[in-house]
Amino acid sequence: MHVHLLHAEVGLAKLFFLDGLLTNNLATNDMGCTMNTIRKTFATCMALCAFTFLSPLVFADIEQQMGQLNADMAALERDISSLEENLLFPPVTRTKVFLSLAADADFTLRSVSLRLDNREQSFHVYSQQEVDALRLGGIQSLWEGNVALGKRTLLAKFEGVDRRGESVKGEASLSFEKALEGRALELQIVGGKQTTFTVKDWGAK
Amino acid sequence: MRKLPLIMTIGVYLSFLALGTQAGSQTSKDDLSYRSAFYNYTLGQYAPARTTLLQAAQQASQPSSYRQMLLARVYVEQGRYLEAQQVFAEHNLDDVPSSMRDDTLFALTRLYYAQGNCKEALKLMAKNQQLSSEQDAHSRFIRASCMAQQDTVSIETLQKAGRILLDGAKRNKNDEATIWFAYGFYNLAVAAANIKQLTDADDFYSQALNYVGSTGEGRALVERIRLSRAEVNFVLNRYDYAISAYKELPLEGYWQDQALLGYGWAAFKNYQSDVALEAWQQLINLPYKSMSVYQGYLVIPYAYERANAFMQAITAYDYAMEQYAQVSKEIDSFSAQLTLQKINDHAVRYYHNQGEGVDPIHPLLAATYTQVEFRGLVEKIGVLTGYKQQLAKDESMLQMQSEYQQAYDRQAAQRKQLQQQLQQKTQQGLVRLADTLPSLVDNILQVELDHPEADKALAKLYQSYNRVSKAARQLKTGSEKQHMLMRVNRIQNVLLFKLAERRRAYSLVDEVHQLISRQQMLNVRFNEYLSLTEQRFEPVVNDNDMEAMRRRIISAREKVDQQLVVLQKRLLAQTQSALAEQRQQIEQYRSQARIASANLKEDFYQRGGSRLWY
Repeated sequence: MHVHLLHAEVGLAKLFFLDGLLTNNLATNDMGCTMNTIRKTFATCMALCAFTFLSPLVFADIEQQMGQLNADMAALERDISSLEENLLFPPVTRTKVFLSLAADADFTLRSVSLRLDNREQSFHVYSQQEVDALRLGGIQSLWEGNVALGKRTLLAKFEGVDRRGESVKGEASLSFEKALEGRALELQIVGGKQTTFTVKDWGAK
Repeated sequence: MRKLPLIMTIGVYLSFLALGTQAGSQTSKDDLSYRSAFYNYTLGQYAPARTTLLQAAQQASQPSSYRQMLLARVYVEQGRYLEAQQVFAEHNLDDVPSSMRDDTLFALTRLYYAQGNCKEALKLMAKNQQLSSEQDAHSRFIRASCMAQQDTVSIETLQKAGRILLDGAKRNKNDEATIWFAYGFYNLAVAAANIKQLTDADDFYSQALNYVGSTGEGRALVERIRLSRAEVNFVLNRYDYAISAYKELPLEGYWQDQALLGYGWAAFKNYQSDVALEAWQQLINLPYKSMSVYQGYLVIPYAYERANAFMQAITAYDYAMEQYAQVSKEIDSFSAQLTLQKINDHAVRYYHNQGEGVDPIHPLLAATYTQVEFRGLVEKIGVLTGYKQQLAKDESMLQMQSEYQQAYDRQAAQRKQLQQQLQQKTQQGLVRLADTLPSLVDNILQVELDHPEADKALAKLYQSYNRVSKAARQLKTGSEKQHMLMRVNRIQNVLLFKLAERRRAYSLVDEVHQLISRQQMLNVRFNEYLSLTEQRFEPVVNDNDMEAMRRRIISAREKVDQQLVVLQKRLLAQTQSALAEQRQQIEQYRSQARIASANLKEDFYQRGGSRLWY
């Protein structure tokens, strides 16, 4: 964001050409040229005046139209995202896996590998910024996909480092029944005396 | 490219903490949409955050104040103050903790101030109950700057604003916060200069220098302050001060053209013509031709003239006139060739790079494009171009989906037939299995139990089973027969189980056991499949939805195109108008050069100067 700084009217352009000699010369010689300059100056001034007076009105209108357009676009974006989600992941098979990290977990997450029925579905390497976002209470939408009905097994493998900088590995798994509704699962890295890895089943979502 | 000092959004991390505390709190912990949107928000991915929040709001029966607050923050970060304000006004946010509410209020305040709306900014600021130290510094900057922007500003008002800044500066010592005081004092100095209170302006500039800190941004601000201070001292006829202020500006710096021009003038006024001429020569040799450089062409002959070097002055005036004529021509030709497409391309580049590293559309318009009205238009064109790209992507997604759907529909009959064939085949297989498995078990039972050395109790049971089994098979086909056969099967399984118990190492029995359980599992799955096929799965998205969405996309694109053309035309007109202004200034210089040159020649003639020429 730009810092709004005031504009100095006392500038060099204004100061230097108030200097006597040059301006006096302008007034006394070459009348033809001066008249032309005056005419041009007048025309430009008129254009600038009209521009200055009309500007706020036109701008207010543009602002209003832009505001409406922004709202329309946001609504369109929302609806098209829902449509796309429903097309790609219909509720019958839709399964979402989220990941969260407790703020007090003595663990800096480096990567997560997600397997569903022994097939790898997702592998994510975390940046410090992402870890911070998780620590602040955010939840990452790690994977969204289609899962056939029936009994399924989710296995997540975590890698990271603890406070002492030592490499730590952990895993969590969950067997769940994929029914006709969409399903949401959350991989949780929970703090406390010892970091634990669990999977929470949010049920139909 | 010239750049204005940029400030990183202050207090962002603190605001994350405030919002994050809520993301982790019990109230919103169960709200996956909120937490997911918050994750994206923290990573600066505002568009997905907004979409998630809008979707959640659409699906929820009651609006969530947390989500609304986060949505307001997303709008603030996207610079959409109208939407942010609307969200803030439309929802009762009393149940949101004050820290989170204050944080959003402050973000909105910043946004209003950035939009030049001091009235709303101050109104919102008054609602804020608690501010962090950095926010306090920032808010003092806003208050002081708003006071300086009043229509009827007096030096007393500016001094009062100065006291607000000083009061804050006493409490706040860290670099990130104190730079706001430097900006504040700078603005006060400019306002003082504008009301011709130049000594006070100099004092404010001097105070601003105390708070710039040691960051890169602070160093950029120092240059700007020194330049302004030099100008003020020049006007105050304090040429020595002006010269020393100009000397402190780096030669390769951002303000080098203005610094060289001003330094030359200060030296000239201080009776150091040689120094002035040297600076101005350096100025006109700069590769970057700004308005200051064009002034340089005019001041050089003026200096010669004042030093009575008339011939050199006349030559230099003529050279200046040539330069002015050439640049005027260039401006005319550039202006005539300026198209909407060109202006759009430049605006988009400028918007994406925030003006940094982008060559100005014309060298004389470098500073012009940093002005608020130009920046506003450039930003809107950038946003709209982004919308166009997004709409094109959405449309191609829909197109792809429609094509896929059509291909899918075309194959529907064939697929149904194949499905039925497969179903039939599976069913037959299962029936065959249902027939084969009992006879296989019968064979095993016969081999093991139908001889004199067999376990007598089991053999007796087997004989009873055999009689029942035969009787059941002879029954007429119907539900009774089905029922009987099932019971017979169960007895057969029990016999097999008992046989397996007696002869543990008998692997064949184990295998048959496994076969039976697998057969039962297959039956269950097949029956589940049949029950599912009975349900009619209507597609979640149908053709009408797709068509409606396509129409919405087309309509949005039309609106975007219309708006884009309006903005492009406006930017084109503003650009041409700014160029015309510059051209007019150049023409004025040209007239001045011509008049001064003619006067000099006349003087020569009057003083018998013709002899001097040859």
